[in-house]
Amino acid sequence: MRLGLVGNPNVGKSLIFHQLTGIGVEVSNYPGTTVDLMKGNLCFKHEKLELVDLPGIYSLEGNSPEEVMVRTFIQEKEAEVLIAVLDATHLERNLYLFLQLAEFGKPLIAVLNIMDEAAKQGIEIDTAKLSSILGVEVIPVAAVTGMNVAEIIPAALFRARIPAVQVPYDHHIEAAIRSIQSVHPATRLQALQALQGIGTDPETNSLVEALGPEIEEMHRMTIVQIIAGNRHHRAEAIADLVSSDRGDAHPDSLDSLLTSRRSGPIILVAILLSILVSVFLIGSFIEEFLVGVFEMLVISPFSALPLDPLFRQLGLSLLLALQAGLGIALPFIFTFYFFISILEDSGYLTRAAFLADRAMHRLGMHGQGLVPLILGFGCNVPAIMGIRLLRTRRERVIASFLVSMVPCSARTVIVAGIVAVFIGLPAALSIYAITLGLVILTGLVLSRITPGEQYGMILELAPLRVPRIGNILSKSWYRIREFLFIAMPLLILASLVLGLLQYAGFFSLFQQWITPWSEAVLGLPGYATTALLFGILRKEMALETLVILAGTADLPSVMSLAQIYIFAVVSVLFIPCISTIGVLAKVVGARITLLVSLYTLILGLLIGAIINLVIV
Amino acid sequence: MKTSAREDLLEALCILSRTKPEPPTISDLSDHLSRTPEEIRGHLSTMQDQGDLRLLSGDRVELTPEGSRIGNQVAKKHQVLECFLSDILGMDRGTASEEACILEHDISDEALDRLDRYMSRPGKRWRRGKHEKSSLPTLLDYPAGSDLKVSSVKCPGGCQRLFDMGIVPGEQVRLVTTLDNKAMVIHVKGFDIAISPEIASCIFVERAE
Ligand SMILES: Nc1nc2c(ncn2[C@@H]2O[C@H](COP(=O)(O)OP(=O)(O)OP(=O)(O)O)[C@@H](O)[C@H]2O)c(=O)[nH]1
Ligand SMILES: [Mg+2]
Repeated sequence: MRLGLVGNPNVGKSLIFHQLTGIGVEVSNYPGTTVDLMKGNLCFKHEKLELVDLPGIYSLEGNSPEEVMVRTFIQEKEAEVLIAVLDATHLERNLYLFLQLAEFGKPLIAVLNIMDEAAKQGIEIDTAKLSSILGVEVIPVAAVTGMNVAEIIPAALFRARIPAVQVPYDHHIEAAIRSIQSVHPATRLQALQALQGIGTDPETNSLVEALGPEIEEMHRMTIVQIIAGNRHHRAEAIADLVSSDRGDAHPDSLDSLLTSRRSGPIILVAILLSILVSVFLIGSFIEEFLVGVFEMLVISPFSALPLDPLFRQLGLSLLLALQAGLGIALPFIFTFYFFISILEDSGYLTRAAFLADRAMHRLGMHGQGLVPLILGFGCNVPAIMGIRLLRTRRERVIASFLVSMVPCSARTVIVAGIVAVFIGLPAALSIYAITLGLVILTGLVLSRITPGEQYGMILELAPLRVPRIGNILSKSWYRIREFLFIAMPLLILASLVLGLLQYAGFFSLFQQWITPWSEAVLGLPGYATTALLFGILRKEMALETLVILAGTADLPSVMSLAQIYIFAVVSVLFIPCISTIGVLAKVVGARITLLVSLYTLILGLLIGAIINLVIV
Repeated sequence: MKTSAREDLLEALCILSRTKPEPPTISDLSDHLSRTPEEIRGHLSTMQDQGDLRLLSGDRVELTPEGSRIGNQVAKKHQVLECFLSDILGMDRGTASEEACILEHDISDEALDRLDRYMSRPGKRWRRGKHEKSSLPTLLDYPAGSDLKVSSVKCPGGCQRLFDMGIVPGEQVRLVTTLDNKAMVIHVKGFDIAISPEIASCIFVERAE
C-alpha cells in the first residue's frame, strides 16, 4: 500500500516523512526544499507500507514542473491514500490547496502541523469542527516535538475518507460545468480542469473554447482568476469558522531590520563574508591539528618500517589518501555545512533572495536565483536540482552556468586546505573574489545573449526561527556521511590504483608527455596537471591525487607558492565534477551541459595561464 | 412600451440563454429583472408582435435573430460601461452595474466603441512588454506601510502563482517594505511574499478604507 504526503511548501512534509521512515531527507526552512519524489518504506503491524514525500506546491492546477508532477502523481492513482499536510499557523492559505485536493475525490486524512507555533501565537483551532466541515479526519501534529506523529499512519490506513467539502463556484462557472456535463460525460473535476486550460480531453476542451471567452468577458477576469477567488473565499470562511483568533502576526522588528533597504544589504554581505572567513579559520585550525596528529602517529612510524618497496608505495598512498580525506576535507566540509544549515533553517535564505533581487536582475535572473547559488557553495548537485524551481528556461540556462562555477565545499577544501594554510587567508579570499568576478561577468554576458522570456520573483518568505542545533548537526552529518561512505572509499580505491600505477612507472610516461604543455601553459609540474584531471571525478580528488603524486602533504616543499595558487585557481574553475555534469544533463539537457563543461574548461585554463604570465 | 424596457428584456433574455441550453422561462426573467411576471408577460406579447421574440409552450421565450442581435449589443454596452465605471473610475461593482443599466440605453454606438477600445489598452500594454505609465495605480505607486486592496491583476504569461497565494481582486494586502529598485515584500493571508518590481507593476491596487 502506498501513501503520499501532499501540501504547500514549507509545511513540514519532509520532517514528517523523516520521522515516519527514519530516512534522512532534506528538511529546511525555505519553500521548495524537496524538488523530487522521495519514496521510503515503513512497517506498521507487520504490514509493509510505502510513503512518498512530494514537493511542496501552491496549486494542483498550475503548470510549473513540480505542480505537474504532483498532479500526475495523484491522478495516476499512484497512492491509495493521501496525507494532506496543513500549516496551522497559516490555515486559510493551506485550506485553499486542500479544497483543490478535495476535488480529486481521493481518500485522505488531514494533518494539521506546526501546532506548537500556532499555540505560541495564540491561535486556537477547533479540529473537531474542521474535521466535520472537511469531511475527513484532522490530526493536530507538531512534527518537531513528535506530538501525535504516531497517530498519522493508523488514521491513514483505517480512517481515510473522501472529503465532503465542496467549493460553490460563481454561477457562471457552475453553469459552464453543467453545460459541459450535459453535452459530454465528464466529472466535475474534469470540467473544472478543462475550464482552466489543463483538461486532457479534446472534446471537453473544445466546448470550453466556446464557453470560456464569454465568461471571461462578463467578469473581465480570466476563468482561472474567478475560480481562485471562489476558492479563497471558501477557505477564508472555513478558517474563520474554526479558528478563534487568526493572530495576524504583528510586524517583527528583527525581520524589518533584515529586510530594510538600508541595513538589509549590509547584513547580507556581512553574514556571507563572515561565514566564509569562519569556515577558513575553524577549518584550518582543525585541519592543522588532525594532519599533525596523523603525521606524528601514523605516517612517520609507517615510513620508518622496513618494508618491500611495492607495499611501501601502496601503504603510503593509502595513508596519504586517508590523511587528505579525513584531515583536510572533513573539517572544511563539516564546518561549511554547519553554517549553510544555519542559514537554511533560520529562514534567512529567502530574505537574502529578496535583497539580492536587483543584483540578480543584472545577471539575467531574479532574487530566487540566489538560493541555488548559495546552496551551490555547499554542493553543486542539489543546487542544480534546485534550479528547476526557476520558472523559465532562460533563467534555468543562466543559473546552470553560474551555479556550476560556484566554488562548492569540495573546491573550498582545495582553496582552504592549501592556499589558506600555505599562503594565507587574503590569497584564499582572492580566489573567491576572482571566481565571484567571473560569475558576475558570465551572468552579465549571458543575460544579454540567452534567448527567452523572464518573469520576476514571487517568493514566500519563510518564518524566522531559531535553528534547532539537533537538526543542524544531523543535516551536516547526513551530508558528511555521503562524503565518508561514498567519496572516501572511492578515494581510497583510487589512491591504491594510483600507487600501483606510480610503482609501475606509468605516470612517468604520462607525465613526460604532459609536462611540457603543463609547464608552458600553467607553469605547473606534470603531476599537478594530472591531479587536476582527477578533479573531474570529484573535486577533492584533485587535492588528494596531488598529495599522493607529490608524495607529501607538505606541498611547499615540492611546489612554489605561485604554483600552489595557480593549481587552486584552475581546479576551482575547471569543469564541474562528474556528478554535477550528470544532474545538469537531467535538468537542462545535454547541449547546455556540454556548453557549460566546455566553457568552464576553457575559462579555467585561460585564467590559469593569465595568472601564470602575470605572477611569474 | 419604452425602448429601455424593451432593451432590458432583450438583454436579460440574451444573458439567460447563454447560461442554459434550453430557452429561458418567464419566471427566470422575472427573477432576473425583479419585475412581476404579469408586467413582463404584457411586454413580451408586444415584442412578439414587433418580431423580437417568439413565445413558446411552457412559458418559454425564444429570441429571433434580430432580437438576439439587439440584446447582445445592449449586453455588450452594459459590460463595457460597468467595467469602465468600476475598474477605471473605481466605483463599487454593484453601483457600477446599476449605473450601467441606465446609461446603456442612451449611449451612442460610436462613444461606446471608443470607450471599448480605450478599455482594452491596459491589457495590450503587457503584450507589447513595455512599462508605459498606466492611469491605474499599481503596487509601485504606494510607499511602504500602506494598507491596500487589490483591484485587478494583469500580468504577462499568466499569474497563476499570484492567484494561488491569495492575490486576487478584493483581497487586502499590506506593503511591508520596498527596496531601492522597488522590489517589495507584501503581506497577504498571513504570509510575507517577496516580489520583483515587474510583478508588482501588474498588481493594480487602491487604498483600503
Ligand atoms: N516549529 C515547528 N517547525 C516545524 C514543524 N514541522 C516542520 N517544521 C519546520 O518547518 C521547516 C520546513 O520543513 P520541511 O519538512 O522541509 O517542509 P516541506 O513541507 O518538506 O517543504 P518543501 O520540501 O519545501 O515543500 C523546517 O525548518 C522544519 O524544521 C513543526 O511541527 N513545528
Ligand atoms: Mg520537503
